[in-house]
Amino acid sequence: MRRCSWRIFLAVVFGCVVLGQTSVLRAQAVAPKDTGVKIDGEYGPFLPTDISVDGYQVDRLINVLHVFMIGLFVGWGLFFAFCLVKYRQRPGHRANSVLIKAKPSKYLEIAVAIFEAVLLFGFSIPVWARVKSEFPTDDPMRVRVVAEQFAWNFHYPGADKKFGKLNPKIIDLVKNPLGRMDDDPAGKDDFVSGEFHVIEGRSVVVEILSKDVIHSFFVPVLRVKQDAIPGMRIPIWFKTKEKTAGAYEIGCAQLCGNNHFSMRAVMHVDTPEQYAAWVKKVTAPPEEFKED
Amino acid sequence: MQKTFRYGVLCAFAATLGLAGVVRAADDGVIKGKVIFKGDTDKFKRSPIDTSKDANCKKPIGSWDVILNKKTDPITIKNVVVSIKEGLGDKKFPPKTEPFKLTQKDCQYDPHIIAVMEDQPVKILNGDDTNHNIHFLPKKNTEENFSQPQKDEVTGKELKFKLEEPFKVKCDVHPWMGAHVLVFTHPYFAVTGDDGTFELKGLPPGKYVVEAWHEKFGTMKADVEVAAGKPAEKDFTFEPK
Amino acid sequence: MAQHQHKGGGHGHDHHHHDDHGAGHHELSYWRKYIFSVDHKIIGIQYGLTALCFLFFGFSLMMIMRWQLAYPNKPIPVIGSLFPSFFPGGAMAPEMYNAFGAMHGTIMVFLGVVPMLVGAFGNYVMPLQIGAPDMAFPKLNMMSYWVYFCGGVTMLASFFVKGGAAQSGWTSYAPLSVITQPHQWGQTMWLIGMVFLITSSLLGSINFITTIVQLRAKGLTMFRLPFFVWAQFVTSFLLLLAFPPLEAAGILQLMDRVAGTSFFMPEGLVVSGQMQSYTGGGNPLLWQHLFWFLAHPEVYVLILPAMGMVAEIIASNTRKALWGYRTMVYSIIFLGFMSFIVWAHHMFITGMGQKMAAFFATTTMIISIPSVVILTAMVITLHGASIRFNVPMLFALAFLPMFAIGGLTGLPLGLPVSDIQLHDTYYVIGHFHYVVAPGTIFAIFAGIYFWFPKATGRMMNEALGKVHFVLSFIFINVAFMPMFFQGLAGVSRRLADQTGYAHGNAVQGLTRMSSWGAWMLGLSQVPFIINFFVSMFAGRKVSENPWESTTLEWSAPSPPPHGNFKSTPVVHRGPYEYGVPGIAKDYFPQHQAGAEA
Repeated sequence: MRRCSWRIFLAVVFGCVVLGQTSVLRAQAVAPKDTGVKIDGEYGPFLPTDISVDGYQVDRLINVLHVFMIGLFVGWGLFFAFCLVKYRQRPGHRANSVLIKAKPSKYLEIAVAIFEAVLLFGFSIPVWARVKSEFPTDDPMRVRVVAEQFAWNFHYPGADKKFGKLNPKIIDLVKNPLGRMDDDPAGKDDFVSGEFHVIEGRSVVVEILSKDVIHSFFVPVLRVKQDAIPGMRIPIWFKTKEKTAGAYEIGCAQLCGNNHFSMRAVMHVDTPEQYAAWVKKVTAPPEEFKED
Repeated sequence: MQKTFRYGVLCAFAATLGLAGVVRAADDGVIKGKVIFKGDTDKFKRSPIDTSKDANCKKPIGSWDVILNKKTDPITIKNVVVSIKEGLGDKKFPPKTEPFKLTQKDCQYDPHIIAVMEDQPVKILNGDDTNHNIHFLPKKNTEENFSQPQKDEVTGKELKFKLEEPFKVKCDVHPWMGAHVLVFTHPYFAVTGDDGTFELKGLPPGKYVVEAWHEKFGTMKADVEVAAGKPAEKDFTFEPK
Repeated sequence: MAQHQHKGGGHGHDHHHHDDHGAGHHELSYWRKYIFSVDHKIIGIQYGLTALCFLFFGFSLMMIMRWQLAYPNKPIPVIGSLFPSFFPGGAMAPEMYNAFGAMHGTIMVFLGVVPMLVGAFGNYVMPLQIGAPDMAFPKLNMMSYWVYFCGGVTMLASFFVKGGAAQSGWTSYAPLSVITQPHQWGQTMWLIGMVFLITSSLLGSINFITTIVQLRAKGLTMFRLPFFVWAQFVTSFLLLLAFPPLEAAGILQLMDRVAGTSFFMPEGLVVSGQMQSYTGGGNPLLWQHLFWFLAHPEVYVLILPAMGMVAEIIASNTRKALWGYRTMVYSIIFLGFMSFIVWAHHMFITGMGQKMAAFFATTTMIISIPSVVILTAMVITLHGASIRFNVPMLFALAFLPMFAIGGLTGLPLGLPVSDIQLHDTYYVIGHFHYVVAPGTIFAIFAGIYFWFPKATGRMMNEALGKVHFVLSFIFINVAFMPMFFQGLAGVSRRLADQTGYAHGNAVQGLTRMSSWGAWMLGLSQVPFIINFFVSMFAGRKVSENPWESTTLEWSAPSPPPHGNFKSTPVVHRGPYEYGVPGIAKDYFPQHQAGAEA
């Protein structure tokens, strides 16, 4: 009798959970939000679209790990469940005081260790070395990303491919947000934008800086993430695949203050023509602003 | 003896009343004038602001540190705050009770100059479909820094500033957004508009030092004497290099 | 100290003599007996009740935050209108979200779980398990509770100062923590509170180590110690060695905030367009190194005692010795040692080079092995057992798969390449919550149900306990499982509203599921709260050993009097002698004389 009521209770609870969840999820299906620019790519409860040439290495490791983890968990869970049922306390059953010689557990532990070593030396360290040291030599685009509370600034070096010097003392948030110096010849053709534009299929070297606190430059579709640390200039690189032109999101991944959640920028992957048109637009001498 | 005293008191009372009447009647002194710009207007063109950081900021906006009224003759300057600097003595004035409304609209502050009295409520509203974070950067008053993620053109948030000083305001989400707060102990201040004029009303007659403040061009002072019943005129001329 | 030990080992505690002459002799006043007590059991209960309150409070903060996450900027029902000064317009502003987030983490870790595991269970159970009349330094013990209490009050008070509580996360990364809320008290009080809490833990750890080394009963060799005592022993070393750097770092950050130093502040900072005057070339990464040098061992402080408790409960309820006791002890020592050299795996994304990353990734992979060993040992213990499914055992059993999920999901975060995508996303949140919430918190529940009869002399209600278990088990998974998928989707943690991002908006449904799970989990605690208080006065009365266990605490009366044991216990055998052949009962307590097995 008692056992029976337990089963009913469990069934009712489980039913409530399933029904509750489905109704909650259905009733509150989330309407797409207007974020100004239509964002390309597919997003859901798994890894998002990958538009980077090297991103597959990150995805591969994540996938391999998850298969391994699920396998280990299921195998281990089956043994666990088997023990719970088989060795439950019941009249006439007494625990076996002789400890089993569990060789399989030793093998399991050794297998786990070997597998981890393979992951580490096969999939992780070499890829990390590539990420950290094999900077592209095929004439990459160079961009500086300067983070601040709560916005991203993208500093392009212009035609001479040289960044002008920055002086924090002359920062003017309206007209000179990075403190570019007029007397530096390397900085004459530099320009700064709030949008990130790169050319599809071309490698990009990004230097990451911060004006105030620690931010983190995160582009989910590129599998790129790097903290922006004040006082440091950290280079990273990536290369977009061909035919990936579109708009994607840049987020801040490190808590940076009140509006951390709204520190978002848009990355435009352009065809060479689109990029040239954008550069022309941004570098055009500003016309006088006239109120209508 | 007693009678004399009574009369004395009565007379004194009457005199006080009379005097008060005189003062009240004379509290309509006015200083008015305009703030004139002299110099090369090409140096102070408004430049368009790059709002590409937030795609929700769709309307083009321009820089506001110098706004010249080119249609007036002579050319005048907008957003100059003219106020009484000296001459009011130790008189205390009750704070204005109606709130000063500051709206964040099209990713800029409206109005750009927040001239208020001490303890006068400032109501901050968000007229945009985006998150704003208003950050007051005073030296003497307490620093305020809060976000307004939702469009809210009615309730908003109210603040009060306790101490007289000018200071900056900025938005931490849209770095270009800036404004200035000027806090006064008295109600005699005015901000120049599209015609570049100002008017300080309700002043008792007397000698005053009047100050004109501009965020870019600095301050300028002038002595003005206000007589009862006749508006005093005073123009300020900024000649930036 | 030496004299004390002599008395403790030989004739029992000196107060013990008074008790022998009868009750009422030298009766302590109410204040000395229950409030400023030096008895390890009273202090343990004080720690336990305070920590339970903080756990509940910290969880409540999170339940409110989950509303903002699920329904961004919508007015919070009931609570929003109850506290208009906290929630202008009834909704939660992002800065309030940050404050709640920072305080949720701090309260759960430093005011809830650690005091519960070490302060409450360690204090109450450990001296009983080693047959000691009290801790080695009873007054120090009292002091560490009151210092902890001051730290807690400081943290709570910081909610009510102008500008609110600290908003820079429980990690308090500089420069953010130094420049936010300037001239306001929130963050400063957080730092002061942390200094209190660290001091309390330091005092406690010295006391624990001394007690375990010096006050063991006769015959209780190190390898006859219950696994829980070993866990507390290793934990105390972690606290002792890891906390001083953070205490120093906390004081340095306090100086950066209030005295204008720049230990963690680089030159050339421009905040809100204003050039800052910090000079001298401080480094923000220094704070992270100092913080994680504590905080990684801290993770093991959060899990080792929980493992110890689960091991005790599993041994008792499988009616069988722990499989591989010695291996487990060596593993836990190795875990403790390794936990000091893995800290920088929290910092792969700060721009770490190849050599450092290779080193820390390797140590991280190595540290996963002893965890696997301990977990496997506990599961193999189930083989050939006779499992009693009582409430403490249910929680202890649930700990195993939950901790396994938590541990396994640590792997992708420990390898720098997969960490690129997953670092600082919800995946991390899911990972460590699986370790700490369904892991440690379940172990805490198991411990409460298990040792409640020892502390009160009454059992907790089994039926209510089972309801509590089933509901908690379901909803804790509903709350935390979605986070892994959100993390894979790329949703960053600590966002007050993720719907502004396309990838965040796409998984907003999961966020809502998680929120509903959290609220239901909150409701599921109602049977526990009722059970806890009602059983205290109306539970079934029990004798000294209701679970028929072998370790020493079950030889003392329930509840144990001042001085703990009726007669000084002597230990004859190892901790888990269950089902010994030739003995009629299926357990053979450590203190019972008789044939050695």
